Amino acid sequence: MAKSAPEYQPDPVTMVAYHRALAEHADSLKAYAARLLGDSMAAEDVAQDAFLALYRHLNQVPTAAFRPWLFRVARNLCLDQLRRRKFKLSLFRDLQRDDEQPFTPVDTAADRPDQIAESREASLAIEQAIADLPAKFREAFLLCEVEGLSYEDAAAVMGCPVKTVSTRLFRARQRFQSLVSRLIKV
Amino acid sequence: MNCTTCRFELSQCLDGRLPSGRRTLVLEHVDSCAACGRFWGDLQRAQQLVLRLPKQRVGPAFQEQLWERIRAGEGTPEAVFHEPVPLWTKARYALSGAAAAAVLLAGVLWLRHDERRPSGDGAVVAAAEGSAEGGAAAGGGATARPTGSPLPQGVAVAGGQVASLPPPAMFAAAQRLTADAVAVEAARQFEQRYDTARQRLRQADLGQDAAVGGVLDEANELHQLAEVLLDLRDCDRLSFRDAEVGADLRVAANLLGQSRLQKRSLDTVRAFVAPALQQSERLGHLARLIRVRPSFDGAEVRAEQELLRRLSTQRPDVLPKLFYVLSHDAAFGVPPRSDALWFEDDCGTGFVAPRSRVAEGNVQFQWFRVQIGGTGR
Repeated sequence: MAKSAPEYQPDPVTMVAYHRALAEHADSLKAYAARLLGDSMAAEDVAQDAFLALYRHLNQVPTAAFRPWLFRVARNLCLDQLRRRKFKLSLFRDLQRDDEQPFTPVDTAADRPDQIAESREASLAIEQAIADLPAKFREAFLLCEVEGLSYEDAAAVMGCPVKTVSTRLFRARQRFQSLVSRLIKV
Repeated sequence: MNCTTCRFELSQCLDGRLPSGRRTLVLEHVDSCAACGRFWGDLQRAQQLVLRLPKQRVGPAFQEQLWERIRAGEGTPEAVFHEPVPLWTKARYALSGAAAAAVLLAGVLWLRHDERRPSGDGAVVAAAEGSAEGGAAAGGGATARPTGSPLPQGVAVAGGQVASLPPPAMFAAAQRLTADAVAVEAARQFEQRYDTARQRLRQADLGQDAAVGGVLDEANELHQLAEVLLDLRDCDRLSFRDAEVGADLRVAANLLGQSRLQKRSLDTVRAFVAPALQQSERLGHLARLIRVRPSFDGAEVRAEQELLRRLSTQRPDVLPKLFYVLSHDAAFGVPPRSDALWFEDDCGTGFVAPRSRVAEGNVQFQWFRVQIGGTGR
């Protein structure tokens, strides 16, 4: 299941960088994996596996490259899980969303029940629009638009040229706009 | 410039990747073309929608589990590097799946045939016992409030029992104990201890062995305070003036938390505590770098009290370190003080004072502390 881990003690500077990465990227890594997998719990495992892998490779990964490296690893782990789960995915994704949404209101300023319901509905519609994007476009959209990675970092994660990232992102934005046009016009 | 090119470049413009000259050209086209103008507006609004999506957070045990796995020497998951799955592994998956299905099936069959399951009755009995105990505790608590106890494990919702005696003059100006008061006090104490810890760290660096224990003790206290502050940040009761401060605090909390799990040695101080204390100068002024949300009032008192109850249950050691519990009886005849805070628990109304105010040399509280003896510890 897992490779044997060589004993390695990182130096304090690298440890600070690792802790910083843990503080700054764990949530976004989980969010990214959750959108790829449609499963929040599995996403948390993926994020943890990615950080475990990073710890084991701290001596090989430059601190400046932690973020794209983590996303790349998370992507590989997600693809591996998706390959294994295949068609079961959509069922679980829908159930998971139903379970999670009520606990995460979009707009905390909206305190009236109708506003909360409205913002939840909007949130669901946005998530659905993202899920409906073609896989390649969705990947660029999630990395750049949602998680805020640079084109270069996204290219490193996706394993493609930077130009391809910008083209896919543009296509993704076009489709996303049409999918959420109702919300945009409101 | 045609519209297709313009729209493609608008997407890059949105990410700030267009050179300024090109950007000017694109935006000029947007001004003169209604369709591209709409596209540009929609592009920005769509981005705003995405930014408003709820943020996912990892669970509270995420880091703890991760460090456990690291300590246990767990290796890198295979899928990280896309290694092909060997045939034997595939077969093992199939066998594991079959075995799991068999176990599940056996479990279902067993449950269906076992009509006398003790767990249901047991649960009822346990629930009944629990409620009986709860009732007794509530009933007894109204008459006997332990003096000199640390801050209560659970702070009760307002409207429960109220102390039968009128409050002494000292508490006449007391404010309700709220989460923002906890945040302010935690930040103050963090700042003070941060300073102390850094001094001890310098002593430890100079080879004073006795200082190592002191540094690690301070690290432990700092870790707890940092976790409380981060908890309150997560509950939206506190924010940092700069996002970097929050990140610095998280990093410091992680490193200091790690130091608690290691051997008490100079190596641990150097590997974990020193980086935590030296990575950011900002943490030395933490009390000035936080913003607290004003305390709840009206109908939201219940939510506030629930938050305090949760905080005191989850971190029972921390709140007594933040506040002195003031004796009700000993406060008669003492002039009013606005530093005092009141709360209600199962035993009625209690009063506390922030420890940092006392430590600042406030004569009245110092005197009061002497009067109440060991109560404030």
